[in-house]
Amino acid sequence: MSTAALHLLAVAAVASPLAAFGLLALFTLLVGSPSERNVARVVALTFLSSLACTATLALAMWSGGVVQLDVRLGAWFAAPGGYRFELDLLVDRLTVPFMALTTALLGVVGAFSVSYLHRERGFTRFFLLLLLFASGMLLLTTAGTIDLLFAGWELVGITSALLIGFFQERRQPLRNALRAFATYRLCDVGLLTAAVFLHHHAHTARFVDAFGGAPWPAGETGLGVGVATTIALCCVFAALGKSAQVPLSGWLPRAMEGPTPSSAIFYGALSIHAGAYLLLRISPLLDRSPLASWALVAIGLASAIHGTLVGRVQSDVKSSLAYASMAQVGLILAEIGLGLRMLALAHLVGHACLRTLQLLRAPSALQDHWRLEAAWGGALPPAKGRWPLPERLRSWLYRLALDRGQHDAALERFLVRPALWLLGRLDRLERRVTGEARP
Amino acid sequence: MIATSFPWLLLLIATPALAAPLVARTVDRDLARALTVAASGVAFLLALAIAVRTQLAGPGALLVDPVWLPLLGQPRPLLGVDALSAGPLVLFALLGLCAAAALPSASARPGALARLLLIESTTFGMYGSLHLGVFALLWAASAAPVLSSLTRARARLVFGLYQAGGWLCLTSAIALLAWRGAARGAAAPLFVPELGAEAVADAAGLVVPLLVAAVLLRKGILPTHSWLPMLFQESAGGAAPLFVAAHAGVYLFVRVFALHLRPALLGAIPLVAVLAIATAVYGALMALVQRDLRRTLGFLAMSQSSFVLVGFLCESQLGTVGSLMVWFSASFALTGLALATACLESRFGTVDLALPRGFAGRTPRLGALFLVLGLGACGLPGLAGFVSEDLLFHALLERYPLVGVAMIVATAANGYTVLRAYFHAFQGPAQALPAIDDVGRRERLALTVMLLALLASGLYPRPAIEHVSAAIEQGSPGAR
Repeated sequence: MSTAALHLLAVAAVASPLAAFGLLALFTLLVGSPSERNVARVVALTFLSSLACTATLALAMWSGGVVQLDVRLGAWFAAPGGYRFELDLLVDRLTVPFMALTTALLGVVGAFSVSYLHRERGFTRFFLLLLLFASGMLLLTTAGTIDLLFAGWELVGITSALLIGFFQERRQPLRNALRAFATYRLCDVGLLTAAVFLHHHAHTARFVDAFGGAPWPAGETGLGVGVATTIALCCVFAALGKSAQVPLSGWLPRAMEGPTPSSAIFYGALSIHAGAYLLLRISPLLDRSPLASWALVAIGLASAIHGTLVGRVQSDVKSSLAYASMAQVGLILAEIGLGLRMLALAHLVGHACLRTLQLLRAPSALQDHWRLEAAWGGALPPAKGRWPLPERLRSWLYRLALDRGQHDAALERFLVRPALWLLGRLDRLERRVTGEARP
Repeated sequence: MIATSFPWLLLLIATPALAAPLVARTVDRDLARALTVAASGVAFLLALAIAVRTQLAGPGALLVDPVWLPLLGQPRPLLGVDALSAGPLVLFALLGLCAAAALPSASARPGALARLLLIESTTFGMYGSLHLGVFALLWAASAAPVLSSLTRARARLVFGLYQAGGWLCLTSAIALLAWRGAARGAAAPLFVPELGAEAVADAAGLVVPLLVAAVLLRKGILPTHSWLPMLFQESAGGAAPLFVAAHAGVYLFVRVFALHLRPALLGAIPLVAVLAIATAVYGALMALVQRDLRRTLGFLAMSQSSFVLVGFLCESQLGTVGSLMVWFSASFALTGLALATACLESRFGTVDLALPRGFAGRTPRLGALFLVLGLGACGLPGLAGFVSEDLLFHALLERYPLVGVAMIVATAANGYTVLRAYFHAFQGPAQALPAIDDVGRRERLALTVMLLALLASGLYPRPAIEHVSAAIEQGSPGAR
């Protein structure tokens, strides 16, 4: 297959969800909400075409021995002084598994959601957000520049928050969505700063140029240790929020308030691994920075322990699975920090598939349990095996796990409340100046 | 300098100015609205025609109206437009038209509509003015309709004091420039196109601090900001967002400082930059704890409008382009948000953000428009805010790497504020709400136009950026 055809396939895979989102949004705005059947058809067609393009692209690259495809679509915009926002896609050994995972799992979840959300208020809204998320995720995974990656990253963040708050008649999902979005926005600061610093120091935003042109995972960076460490730490900070790692993991169990299919695709499969993808993409910077690598290992292992402990005391299946995701992603980040990139990639793909299946089955967990009991012929025996720990330590760990490691409480007590108190005081001062009544 | 045979700019300024008293005296509200929309529509078409003529006149052309002012014996044109002022003219005319159309009937009293027209007229005058004395007069005149929109005596006093302070600083600086210019024998020391190297020497000493103070007071930059959130909270009828969207302080800064008196200003740039960045962060953080939706928008506007100033202080063309793009995106997004809020308040009363109110249950389209306009201000990819902030941050972090990160924090907080405002105003239980119609056709059309402007320049920003870059190149004195 010619290079132009490969380029076309890559663009089509990314552009089809975006085009479907645009069409569906325009129709809804101008005409009104389309029927469920039509929405389902558009979504199925979109994900199928995107998956077909991805599969064809992967096969063609494999059979043709192409290990890296650099698709240059020109500048989205350019400004005086040589600044250009390039629309470059990069398809390589890291991108292809992610593209395949994204399109395949989105197709599965899309098909599942048609029945799951049948006659639900906001059916069209859900699929609009799913299509926008697909566009963001595909943009993120195929981005050839850190600027474009950031654009996809932002789309993933906003759709995630809007889907957590999907059940808008209740107040709790809205609170939880805001909590998740606050963490996302805080950590986005890291990625945007990393993007600007990479531009400034490497004089390019293109991964191929910044990492020496060698296909992933063999890239190298010519940046100094200090600069590489700064940029890598910014990216690690960005990944902490998106991948729900300690100490910024408190939003993850709260995010389970959204519809189960979106929980599966966001926090079981794709969005939660976006941080891992980012770190795999900038792995030459991690190679150059032992400090950032070891920080990543420490954070990953701490998150894995935290997720394992806290997940064991959860009383609902979705929260339990959320902590299991956190633990696995922690291990994946630790693997990346240790330089085991292919292992991390394989781990990530396997984890995403398994967790999606588990989350999609979560609403039927009780039914599955009853079926098992029926097949067993009575109550299932309790799980065996206890950790060989002293009783006092075990009960302390239990209390700690019940409090979710007290991360949220500590953040609330030492950061959020003092900040809100100070801002409240300042607001009172402002009102005193202008003679306004207090609310 | 190319003299036109017909006073197009004067006609543009006069159209809303003449329509304003007519609208104010109209008893029938529908007729008053129709007159306002017609006058704003004519003004928009005139602004468009002027912009096209400027473009066709070639690079660096300054089209002047045949309205001459005798200045110390040598007459000078009073009004003129070049590539740099043509863009803001069209932008503001479109904003005025959208505001006149989208203002809900409950707020669209003849007096409020007349105020919108007066703000439009005085702002057009400021953008077209070639004489600093005339600019100062219009600067004061543009605040008068806003002052009259405030009903509380203390609010009028606070707003009046800040604006009078700014105007006094401006006129004192201009008087000093005129006096020093006259002393060295300059023919027209306040004629903007002739401000040259000698004017830089004139501006040394007190003039720069006075002009900087005028800009800070007019922009609502820390510590002279308290009037801005109060204005959004207490001024009804769309006057507040239009007054802020005019960015008169920034226009003065670019037109006079950045292009003509830059060497005199260099020492003040770091201080103004730090104050502007601090304002962006402070406004963004204060917006997080507000309960009143209008006051929240006030702090958001304070944060966003200091973004506009920050780019100009980066001393790079990238920063200037970023600032002008933020000017465009923030003006449309914030005016749209303020108008959507007015539509919401006309249906449900004052919007308290303490708890989710569930208005989307009754007004889903208004909710969607509010959300997208809000995200347009805070960098959602595909909308103009993303492009403008991307340009701005690159310029900023190159010039001020450490404090520049604070601006990224500000934009992150602003995004959170928008989503919080949307969730708390539009989502939540809706059972107790009265059955009320969604946003009407006229309001929807106006808000959709604003949204499409943000979307078009977000998806395909190259023409806008190229136009802005060319305007900066052509607007500099060297280009003439």
